[in-house]
Amino acid sequence: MEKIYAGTTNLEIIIDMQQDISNATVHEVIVLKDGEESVWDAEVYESNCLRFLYTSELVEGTYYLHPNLTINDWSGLANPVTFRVYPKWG
Amino acid sequence: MFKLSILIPSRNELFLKNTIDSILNNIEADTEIIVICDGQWPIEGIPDNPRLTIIHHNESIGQRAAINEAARYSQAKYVMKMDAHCAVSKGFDRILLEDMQDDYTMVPLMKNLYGFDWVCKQCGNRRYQGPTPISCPNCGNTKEFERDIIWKGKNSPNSTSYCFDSDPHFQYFGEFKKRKEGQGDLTETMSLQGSCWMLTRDKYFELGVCDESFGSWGSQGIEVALKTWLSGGRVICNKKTWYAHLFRTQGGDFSFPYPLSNKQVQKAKKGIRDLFFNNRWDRQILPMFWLLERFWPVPGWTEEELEKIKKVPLRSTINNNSLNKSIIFYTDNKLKLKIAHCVQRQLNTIHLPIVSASLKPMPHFGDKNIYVKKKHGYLTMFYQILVALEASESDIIFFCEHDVLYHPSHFDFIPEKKNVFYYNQNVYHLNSDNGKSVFYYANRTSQLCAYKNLLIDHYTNRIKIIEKNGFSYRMGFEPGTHNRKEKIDNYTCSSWLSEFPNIDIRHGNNLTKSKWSVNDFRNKPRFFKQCDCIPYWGETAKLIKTFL
Repeated sequence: MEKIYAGTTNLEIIIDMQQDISNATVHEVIVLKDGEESVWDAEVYESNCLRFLYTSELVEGTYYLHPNLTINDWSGLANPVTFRVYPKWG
Repeated sequence: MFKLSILIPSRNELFLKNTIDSILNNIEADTEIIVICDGQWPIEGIPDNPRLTIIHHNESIGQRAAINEAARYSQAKYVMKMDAHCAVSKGFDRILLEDMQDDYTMVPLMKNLYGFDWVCKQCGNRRYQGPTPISCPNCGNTKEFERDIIWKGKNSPNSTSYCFDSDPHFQYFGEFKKRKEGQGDLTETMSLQGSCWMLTRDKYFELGVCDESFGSWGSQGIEVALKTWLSGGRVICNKKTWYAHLFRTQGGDFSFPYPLSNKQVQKAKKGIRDLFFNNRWDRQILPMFWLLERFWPVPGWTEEELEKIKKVPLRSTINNNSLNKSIIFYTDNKLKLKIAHCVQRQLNTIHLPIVSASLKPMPHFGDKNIYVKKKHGYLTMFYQILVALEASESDIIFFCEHDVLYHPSHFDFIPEKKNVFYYNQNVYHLNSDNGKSVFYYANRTSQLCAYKNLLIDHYTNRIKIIEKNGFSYRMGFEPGTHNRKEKIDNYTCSSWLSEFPNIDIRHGNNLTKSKWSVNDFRNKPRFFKQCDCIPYWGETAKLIKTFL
């Protein structure tokens, strides 16, 4: 993954769930950043992935992404993934 | 008292006077110069100046020792090591000080120094600096030459970024300049050239940036850079100002003034490799791979070498039992033994030092046990936490409670800031009676990780306040999580999610109330989930049978 810098917009994030999630009725990502919690709506992409476009400006620090899915009669959280946004110097 | 001391180790230095003159002519801040004449009096007359101190040794003590001596003499807030063959730009000290921060090691942009020309005394032919000429190519003169001092920085190259390869050998890092993070007036640099660097005097001694066991000199830029980065600081190049360094690499009487055999060079490199590549430096809070990844790709390093170094655990050499991360464990010893033993077994698999503070002796659990002879209660619990913190020898502390199953990934976390409390929020609550499980995001003391000094500060204050005014629920249990007037201090908190979750076992006698539905909350959580399966741990019904 290429380095991501503060101020980046329109970042496309694809999370490979490593199983077929095409029947998911809930497919969202809960995001923790600097202790704040938010929810990003994601779409099912190529049957195994969650995909979303983050249009706002990214800020420096670590983003923790926690996929939340409901598939048929199962509902739960997948393992979190992280990405780091680096400071833009100067 | 001066604000900045420039420390100059000098041994057989022809150009010490030129260096001092350049500094004195360009100083704009409250700056002094401390020269250590290491085994020799200055070759040329040095100006008498109230900003200048010279310390002389009849016999050489070595460059690292000389810098250390100068730093001990200094009383300034900041110290800057500079080679005795440099020139500086106007106001270099003021400009650097304006941007300086306490966790920085800062270097100015580096130019090559145009020090002098050789002039043939017979025909006037000029020749660029180098060893004393053998003969004049113009007139054949073999004896009469003199140096015409120029002493100015050349227009190019302008060096701002450095690294080291896996040897480790110093490298220029030109590629970094083209990256986004290489743009701007202040940019990070992975390593240093070594001829000029500046930091606070406190940091100088705290980090021990000139370790004489590495030898008289050699690999010094790498040592300073690694000690800065891996202790949580930053190495910054300030491009608003510059210094120029005379490179003497042509041998003869135009080479290094300190004798340095290949054996010594290899010794210094081996010392660096052993200490830092193996994550064994006692002040180290970040692993070596962290630095490589921060600047990746790094010239002279392969993907395979990076992967290999990622597998090296972070630990100290000072004391084999002392890791830079450790656990404090506190218990009132009132928990069901089955749960207590299960949690302790799990913690023993983590392989971090454990300091426990208990209300009954626990000689068989952890590396150090403190038996607190007090009655169960909130104040006692805070006191247990404080004594465990004070007995811990690590910088980074993970709180562990007697009724939480911690996944090993919980301990992978490295707190970024020294003044922030961090909470892992990847936690499921598990009812030990019926296997019911819920997940919601919250800051819990059992999931706290922070730097030891911050925690000691907080719990010392907390205990003082309670002893004076009594305990109030409005002060809260979790450090840094609220802004009520009853808060203990002004520190803040942040959170993280470990790769796999921890399990907070609810057994009917927990300190905090269990919440099994959204209606149990005074402030409703944005996200609440009931589940019968916990990632990594498996189905909760089976889990309570197997573990509990």
